[in-house]
Order: sequence, then structure tokens, then C-alpha cells
Amino acid sequence: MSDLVSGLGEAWRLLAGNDAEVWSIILLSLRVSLVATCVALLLGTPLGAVLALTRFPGHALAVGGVYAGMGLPPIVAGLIVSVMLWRNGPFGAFGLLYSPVAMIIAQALIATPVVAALTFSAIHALDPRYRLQLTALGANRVQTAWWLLREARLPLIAAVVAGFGAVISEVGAAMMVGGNIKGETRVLTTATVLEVSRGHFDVAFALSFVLLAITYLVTFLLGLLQRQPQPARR
Amino acid sequence: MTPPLLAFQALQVRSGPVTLLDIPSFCLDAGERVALIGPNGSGKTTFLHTAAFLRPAAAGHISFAGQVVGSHTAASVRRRISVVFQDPLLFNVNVLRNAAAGLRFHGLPRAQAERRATELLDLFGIAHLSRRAPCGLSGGEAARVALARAFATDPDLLLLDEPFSALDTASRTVLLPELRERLQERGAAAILVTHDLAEAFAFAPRLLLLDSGRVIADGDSRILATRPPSRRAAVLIGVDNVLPGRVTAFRQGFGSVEIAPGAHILAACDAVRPVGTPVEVTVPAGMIHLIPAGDNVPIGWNALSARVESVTSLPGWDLTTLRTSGPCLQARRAWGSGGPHEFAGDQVTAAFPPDAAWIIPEGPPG
Repeated sequence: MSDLVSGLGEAWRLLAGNDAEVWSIILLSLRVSLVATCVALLLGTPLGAVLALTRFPGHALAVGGVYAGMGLPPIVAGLIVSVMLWRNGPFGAFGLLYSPVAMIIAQALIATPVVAALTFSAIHALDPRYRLQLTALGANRVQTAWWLLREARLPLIAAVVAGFGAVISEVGAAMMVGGNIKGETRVLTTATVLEVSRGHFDVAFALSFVLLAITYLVTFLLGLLQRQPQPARR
Repeated sequence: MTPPLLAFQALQVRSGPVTLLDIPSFCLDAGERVALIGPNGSGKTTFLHTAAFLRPAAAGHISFAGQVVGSHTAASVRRRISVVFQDPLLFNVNVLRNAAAGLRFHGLPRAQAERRATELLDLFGIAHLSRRAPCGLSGGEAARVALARAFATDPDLLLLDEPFSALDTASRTVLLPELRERLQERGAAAILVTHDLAEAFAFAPRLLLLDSGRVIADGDSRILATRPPSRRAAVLIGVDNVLPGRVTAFRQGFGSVEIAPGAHILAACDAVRPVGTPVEVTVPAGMIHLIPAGDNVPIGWNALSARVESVTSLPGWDLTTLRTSGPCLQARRAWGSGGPHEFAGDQVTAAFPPDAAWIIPEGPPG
């Protein structure tokens, strides 16, 4: 209990005291997770839309794969990316392992199925007659997908929040492909693990509070987008 | 001779093993209006979706303006058709962009599309709502936006799937004539699916009756209502009195039918039937006159003595249920049409001219 209280004090001291190391950890966490979420959005939204709007042989398997991907353990994603980026691996030549780019790749791999699955279900939840109406109005496939995605924008924002929440809070992949190198790939979660192993519970709590605060702030900001403009009533 | 705008030939639409539509032939001329009625599940919506090329036919073919439409030409033909669904199905953008959506899909630049959409919104009297979100609109306003969107692309054919079913009577009474007028102005053909007989009659002179995926009647609504081709058609078109009986004589296009022991009526018919044949006779309730018992009946009219069972007041008319020596009869009388008011228990004579009664050409089932 005293750790919790001193952790709060420590968190305040670290932030207010302009601790350069803490700030670099916070900024790196934000950068890696936000970029990974954007990548997941770019890949996952079209993937989810294609799955929702087309039928092809193996469609059910693909949908099942995406849903299973939602439950992909971060440590497995980390392992896959590690193997790929390993010095002797297929992409070893780029020397990306233990870099923020490797962390972004691993986190995008975690978040993409989340975004794709939620996009898929968001489009499916729309009244099917909207699609019929679009076709009847003469929309082509791309226009249909775009207008339906706009109709489903509220659940899509939830998809972004879920994707971001999944990556900012994960530690396994970040640790495995980033390596928790001080000043280079140390993020809030990996730093917390380290501080706990050193017995610095107050610092660990401080980092956790910052993590919570960031998660809350970012999801709150995304949630603002979700608010509908109030219709003008007579 | 110009080919019909829309023509179905030997058309069948299936869903798995079930045949949803089976239409040997159907034609709609340019600028023609038709109301499509039928019970739930009769295939009205399938008919409309098929006509809009939103649903493929399993057999037969559909031509549009004389050209047989295949899967590769459906998209270009669809641009000459607009569909309005049961719900307005407006998108989550403002009213103007909703109205311009079809034009945008047709490749028009935004400024041009929105100018044209504004004209249409103005035509439907809702230009002042351009910047509003669809969620703040009333049912009538949303229906107008959906109609403006459908008209914006200047279609040759409008397919309307119960567009007013969610509206209150007041909005409906205003919108239907307005829709008819817009269609006439533009010379656009239209098929209106509706559950409401009054709406069907008000919309178009031509009525198409669909039952279990088949067209059971197609023609002038007044003729169908007075000369229904079958019992089913009579019921669907709202003929209140269908009286079973037996043919006792024929002369000059009229048959004498015994509807109860000793009670004979004269009814029009289109074919000679052997004496003794069981038949059914329709008499529209609005064509039955109630005359106080003992008063004179016009010469040549059918007259049945009856007792008034009940009188129900409906908007604009009274519906009177009568018991004769044989079947029950319904009679309708407009308010203010004169004559004494009947009360339950009164003895009256139900009188109607022979050509108000009609022997259904198709024999009774069984």
C-alpha cells in the first residue's frame, strides 16, 4: 500500500521534474503504438471491408483466421517478427531487430486482426439494405465500401481504440523484438517490468500510472470523435 | 412502334429450390404507372428487386427499352432506374449530400451534382433542410429526401417499395399526389408496391396483383374491382361480397344465380355456364343500395330482403352488415348520400343493378 502511495508521488516527481529518460520512454511508447495503430488501420480496414462485402472460396476460413488473430498472443507475434528479422532470417539484412521499427511491425501484427475483425463485424451490423440502396444508386464496389465504412464509423472508432489499447499495453512483443534497450527501445511496459525485477516498486507504479493516464487520454480523445453532432431540432 | 420500357419474358426467380417469382410476361411502357399489390410473401419486393437488376433471374429474360439486359449491361441500365425502399435509408451525411449521392456515383463533379440535388430538394419543398443531418428529420421530410435522391438522376423508371408505409396518414395524403405529379412532369414510368388499396388506386390506373410469386390479375383497377378474374383476385382487391350459388339460367351476357333457396340474382358474366354449375358472384359493397322494406326497387334491379345486423361508421362512409335468407352482405354508403339512416334490427331491401354483380369466371375451389 505504501508503494502505491509513494508510486503516485514518484510519478508526479518524474513528470514534473522533467526527467529526460522518462519523457523519452513516454514519447517512444506513444510513437510506436500510434504508428502501429495507424498501420493496422490501413491494413485492417480494407481487409475487414473485403471480408464483409465479398464472397470467395475459403471466405469462412479467412474470417475465422482474422477472428483467431484477435486472440494472437503478443509473445507469438514477437516470435514471428523476431524470426523474420533475425540476422540470418529472411529480412535480416535490414538490421531492424531491436529497433523501434521492429516493435512497430510486431505491434501492427497484433492490432491488424483486431481492426479487421471489428471492421468486418461493424459492416455486417449495418442494415443490409444500405448496401442494396448504394448499388441501386449506381455505386461501384469501392464507392459502396467507402460509404458503408462511413456509415459504420462509430464502431470503427471502437476498433481503433481496441487496437491502440492492445498495443500500448502489451509487453511480450516489445520486449522480444525491441530488447528494452535504454534510450532506444525502452517503452513504458518494458521499463515497468525492469523496475519490478529491480525491486523499485514505486518507480514501477509511477510508470504504470503514466501508462494508464496515456491510455485514458488517447481513448478519451478518440471517444470524442465518436460523439454524434447533435441534430438541430425544431 | 416503340418497345416497352421494361419487359419480363418467361421470368423465374428462385432462392435455392423455392421459386419466388414465375412471370410468363409483363410489360411496362415508358411513362406508365402501375401499382403492385399482394399479401405478405407474395414476391412484391422480389419483383421490384428483379426489375431493378438487383437480383438475377434464374430463367427467362428482362429487357429494358427493347434491349435484353445481361449481367454485363445491368450496371449501365441501373443508372436509368431509381429505387426507393420502404425506409428512407438515408446516409449519415447531410441532406444535400444524400440527395446528390446518385449523381456522384454517376460520375458528376460535386458542384454540379449538388446544384442539381438542390433543385430537386426545392421541388420537394425541402431545400431549407440541405445542411441538416438525416437523424433530425421527421418521417415525412426523410421520405421527401429519399424521393429527391431518386429523382435527381432523372430516371426513366422509378421503383417504389412501400415508400410511405412508415408515414402518418396526413403526410401520405400529401406525398402521394405530389409523387404522381413529379412522375407525370418527367414522363417517368413507376412501379409502386403497396399494402394500401386506396394508395394503389390513387397512384395508378393500372393494378398488378401478385400472389405466391404469380401475377393473378393485371389491368385497369376499376375493371379488376368490378370484374375480378378469380376469387383470390376479388379478395385481394378488397371486394367485400363473394356469394356462392348455382347457375339457373343464362341470357345475353347475364346469368341467373340462386344464392339461397328461392333467392335469385342476375349477374354479369363473360362466358356461358351450364345450368347447375356452382359459381361465385361478387358484388362491391359500395354498389348495394339499402331501401326501406316495402319501398319500390328500381325496375330490373336485384332485390334481397335483409335484416341489418350492425352499422359501423368509417371515415366518410358507413359499413352495414346485412343478413339475408342466404349469405351475409356488406353494404357501404357515403355519408350524406341521402336516405334514412339504418339501425341494427331494421328490415331493408338490399338492391343493386345486375351489372354490379359479376360471376367469377374461374369456378369455386373444390
